[in-house]
Amino acid sequence: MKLSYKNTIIAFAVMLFLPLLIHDNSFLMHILIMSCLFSVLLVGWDLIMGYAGIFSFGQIAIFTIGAYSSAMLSKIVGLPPLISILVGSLIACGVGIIVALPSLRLAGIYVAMVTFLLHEALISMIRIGRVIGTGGATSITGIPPLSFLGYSFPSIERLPWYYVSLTLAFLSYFVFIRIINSSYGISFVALRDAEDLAKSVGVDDYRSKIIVFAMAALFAGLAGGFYAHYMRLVSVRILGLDNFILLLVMLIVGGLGKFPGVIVATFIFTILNEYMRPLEVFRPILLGVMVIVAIIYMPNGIGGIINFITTKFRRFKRIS
Amino acid sequence: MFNQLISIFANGITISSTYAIVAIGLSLVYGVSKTFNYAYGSFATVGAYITWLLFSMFDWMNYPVAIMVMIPFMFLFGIAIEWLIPRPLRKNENWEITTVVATLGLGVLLANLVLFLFGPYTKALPELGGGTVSIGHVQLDWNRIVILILAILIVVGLKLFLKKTYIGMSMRAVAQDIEGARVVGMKINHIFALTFGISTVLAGLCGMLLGTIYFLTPSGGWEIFIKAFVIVALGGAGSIDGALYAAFILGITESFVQFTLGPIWVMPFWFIFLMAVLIFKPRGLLGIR
Repeated sequence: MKLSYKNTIIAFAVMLFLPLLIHDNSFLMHILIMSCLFSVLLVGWDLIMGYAGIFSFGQIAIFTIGAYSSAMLSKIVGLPPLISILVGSLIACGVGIIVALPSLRLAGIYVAMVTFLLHEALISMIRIGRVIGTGGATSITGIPPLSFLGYSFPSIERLPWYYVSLTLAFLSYFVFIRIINSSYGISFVALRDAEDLAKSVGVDDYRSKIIVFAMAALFAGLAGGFYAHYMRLVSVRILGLDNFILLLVMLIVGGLGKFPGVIVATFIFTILNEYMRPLEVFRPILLGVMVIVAIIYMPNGIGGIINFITTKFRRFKRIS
Repeated sequence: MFNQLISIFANGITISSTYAIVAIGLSLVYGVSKTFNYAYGSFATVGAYITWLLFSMFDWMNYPVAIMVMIPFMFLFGIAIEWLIPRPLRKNENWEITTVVATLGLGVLLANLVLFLFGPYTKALPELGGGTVSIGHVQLDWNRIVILILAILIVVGLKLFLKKTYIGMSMRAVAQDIEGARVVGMKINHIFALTFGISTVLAGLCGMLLGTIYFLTPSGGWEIFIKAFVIVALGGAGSIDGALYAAFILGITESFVQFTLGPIWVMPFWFIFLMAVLIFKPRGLLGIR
């Protein structure tokens, strides 16, 4: 089934005019910006885990690599933020490829573990890297804000940030729809649904998996770079397990391989997460329960529900 | 200098023996049911905290009683978890990935539950045996010697169980040929549950033994889990002997890394080692497939 661009364009138009209603509410704007950045990460994660069938847990690590690289390049080396974000995302992409090359040939479980271990090792590496300015166990502060053609983005006013992150998010959605509709996407669906048959007719999954993994890593790195310059602070807390489980809930409740679901879930859970903060230690416990319950009782997630409604609606239109 | 090397080596051996237990447990479940349990490290944490709870509740508590209480508890806990999570998921089409995700959720849940119940402060278990013993110029802790002895007993006991008993043989049969086992009338689900229970007991015992050397923290289980996986990858998935050799190779290397470069390099070391294994020896030392 090919994904259409229509709904995404409609959503983009709605999001474009949303600030007219809420631009005074700085907190809500912040949540929307974070949702956009997280959704870039998560759409990539959905692409590699839901569509390409790669068990990757390294998407947040790659996001963090993008954030730290861009932060350090702009603060220590002094590159302009826009260039440092691009270079940072290329570094993130490179790390993704290095990790993917040996592990994607093996059974899925090895990929899961290599990427999970990348996540854990990165925490130590950032601590070790204190000497080269990673901030160690604390954080990098005072990252210069984004500037573009002499216009420097203010840190109090959220509106310009909103439009930048919105553009990035929808750019990534269009790229991912394009990939899913391309021959890669078709070969992934074939591999997912009938692996032996697809391989016997010569579908080469290794090369296409590497390319898709690299694309997802590139966008996660971009989102990470924007995150660093938006927050003007990066710390190892991004790699914390409670953050990890939050993003995993978004992915699973959104539905693996059910495209728009993951975006909807990102927005819902980024908002919900803010209201769950008073729960403190119960928040990760609750999120853990959600992952388990969602995967057992709702394997298709929100995306499954959306697809169900749209097909029903289409059939209804055809009958009447 | 030489004495120092010997004592690092000796410490490496005791740590390795605990890693061997936990890696064998992980490998056993993977070999029998092809289920990969991401909550495995948290099971070790649960085991260690149960032991701590027993010691803090009763003044007269000693290790034989604690072990006797913990083994049935962890076994039932493991069977309950197997019944709740991997079993309903196994009916689905892509159960491998869903089981991984669900057990990862469970792992985070358990670690945070421990954090909630016991607080964020580190805890210590009493030593298994006090004092030191000197052989030549080298001093060894009694605690570590007892750990090594217990670990050897556990591994030997487990191997005998798998070789000699009816249940052990049926577990190996399921690992070799699941369809064949089903054809001759074995209750596959019972074997899966049993294997899961045994591996949970092994995780709990490992958590307890490591708790006598290091402090307990609610999130410490992840490190144990990662190490167990790298050991399984090097040893060959599903192979118990492989896991045993790999545990000693990696455990002793780790203690040298820890001594020369510092404990912060331990996690990067395991990551680099796993990458090297996947590049040069992707099937492990004694892989069954």
